[in-house]
Amino acid sequence: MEFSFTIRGDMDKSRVVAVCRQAEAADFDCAWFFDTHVLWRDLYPQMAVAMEHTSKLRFGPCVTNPQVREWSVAASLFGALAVQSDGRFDLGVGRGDSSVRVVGKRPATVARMERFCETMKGLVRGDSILYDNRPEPVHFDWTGGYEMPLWVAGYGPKALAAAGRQGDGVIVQLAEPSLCQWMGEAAKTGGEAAGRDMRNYRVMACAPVWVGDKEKGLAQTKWFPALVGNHIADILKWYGSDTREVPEALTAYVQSREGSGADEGYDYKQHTQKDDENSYYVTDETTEAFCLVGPAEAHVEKLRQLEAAGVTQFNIYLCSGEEERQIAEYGEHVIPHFR
Amino acid sequence: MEFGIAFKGDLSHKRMIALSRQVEAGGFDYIWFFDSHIIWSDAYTQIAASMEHTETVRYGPLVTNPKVRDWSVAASIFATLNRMSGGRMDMAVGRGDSSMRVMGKKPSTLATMVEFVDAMKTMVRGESFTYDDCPSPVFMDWTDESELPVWIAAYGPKALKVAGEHGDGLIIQLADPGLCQWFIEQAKAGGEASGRDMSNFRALACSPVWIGDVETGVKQTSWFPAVVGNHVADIVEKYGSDTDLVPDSLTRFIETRQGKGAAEGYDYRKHAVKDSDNLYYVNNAVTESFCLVGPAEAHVEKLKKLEAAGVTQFTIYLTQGDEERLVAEYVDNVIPHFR
Repeated sequence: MEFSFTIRGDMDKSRVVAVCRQAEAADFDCAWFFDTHVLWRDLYPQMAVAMEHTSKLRFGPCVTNPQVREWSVAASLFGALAVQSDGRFDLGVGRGDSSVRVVGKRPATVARMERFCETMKGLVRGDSILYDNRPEPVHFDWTGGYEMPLWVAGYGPKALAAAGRQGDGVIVQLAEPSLCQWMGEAAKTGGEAAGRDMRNYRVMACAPVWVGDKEKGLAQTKWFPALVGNHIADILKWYGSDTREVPEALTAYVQSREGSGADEGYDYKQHTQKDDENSYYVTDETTEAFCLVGPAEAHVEKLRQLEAAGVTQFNIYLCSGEEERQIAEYGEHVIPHFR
Repeated sequence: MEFGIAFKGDLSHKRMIALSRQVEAGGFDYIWFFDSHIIWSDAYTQIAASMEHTETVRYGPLVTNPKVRDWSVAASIFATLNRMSGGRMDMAVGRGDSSMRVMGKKPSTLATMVEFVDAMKTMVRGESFTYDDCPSPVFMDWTDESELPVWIAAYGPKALKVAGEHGDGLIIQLADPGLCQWFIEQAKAGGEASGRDMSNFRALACSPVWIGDVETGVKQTSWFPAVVGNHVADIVEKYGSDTDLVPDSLTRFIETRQGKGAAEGYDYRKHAVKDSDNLYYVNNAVTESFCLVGPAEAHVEKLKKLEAAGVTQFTIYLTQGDEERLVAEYVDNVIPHFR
């Protein structure tokens, strides 16, 4: 199993650098950054700096989207970072959430996200690509033909199938083993239907963690199911609240959420903040199911279940307090069990 | 007089970092990066990495433009880099040239450029800004609330007036003292007419340089008048070839240039490339007047003239070979004459 973490852009640069150095020494594989440039600092300059201080750790946005940057601008960033880091750059992509909603814009359709995935991979590889009815194709001759690993985030059947068709892996933004299994399978089925060999397909589960007292851990991580709940609310909006296309375990807990879809009933200015007003409907049971809390042994046990469910990378959302300690606990008491 | 260098973005990462350190140790004041994300790799991740290896030198794009990035994305980058570097970020802006034309797009209007300058200053200051492309106002509550110094690039009378009205400084992309003086006077007159105090207005002249024999120097730098020639061709197209609104010495050298305006008669894929087909019409006299070539004493002499003409910063386009040597020559034999 691979281990990674995600940095929220409100962390100071010197701390970002220190955390990345600490995590590399603790045998983490990848540092991800939230891509939401209005709420927090732009992630790509921070990533460029952290790359200067590491040599093995990989980097990527978790996740970017097709709506926030013009596509040649986005691909140039990704290609530049791949070149600067000697090929340590992965891309995580979704349809667009906080970075577009906070400025009143809409997520991309699944079809547009798929075109974005193909275009990013192609441009960074050095292919000449015509997109969005541009008058001229775009071509980079300076990327060294980099083959960029691509991860696609999804919850609903259509997005998961797209993740299987386009991605080298799927990003599952919750850490409940049976849901991870269902989502990983849905992505693989989508890829197989498109004729791809899915044997090396990767599945990433992400969630905040708290190594320590469980009750305290639940309080620290309760913001997370509220964030997931927006995506579920969108799924119910599109597929209907009585849909059988997604497991009930995924949808049941948002029944007491107010508002239809992600745009209603959630303040994006408080996105991922502890003690926010967004998590009013979240129960302890859901938090425990989606996150990893409790003593280190409980984390190891749950990670074993996730591994059995097909998860190949576990990604810690590093924004629930005591960040350096969580990395240290994982480095000493969790990761060694999986190596 | 301040001194700067500008990177094109095609040097290897390690060389760019080593040169950044050499430049700062040698007493230069600015490191600029061309912002043309398709032809070369993204400027901002390179700025971020370079900043991590320096302490005092200032940074900026030379130049960005209002059309290449969504404005909230651009402002987030500038505010992030400013914060990461302890307030060492400037912005230089033009209407858009290679980064647009290589995609078949057009530069922005002057009015849009003025609005862009206001948008960047406002958002980096940490104030809310509303613009056409975006349904909701954009507000970044995490900036260091500083004032972003803005330089505006111009050749024609209207753009020069705008630079004087809205810029903290003017960017002049050539180093002929007589023309620099005329540009600076135009910009200052524009600023004074709008009631600004222009006593601290800055003027940056930029060009490639070659320390060594004149003949080799002219050969090494003759790509540069071809870059300038595109802008002049646009001016001639707009104001007419017999206009008395711009000096004859600016427009005469493009009489043998083929094609109307910047978009014709130039291959942007070979932008700023030595020995390209773009410079067929450039003669030695023009290259000598727009660039600095010859022994170090000749550079000192010309820089004294530029200083007398009102130039406050000279920036070397560091793009045509022998980069480390040219920086070393300036540090040892040129800059000390101005300190």
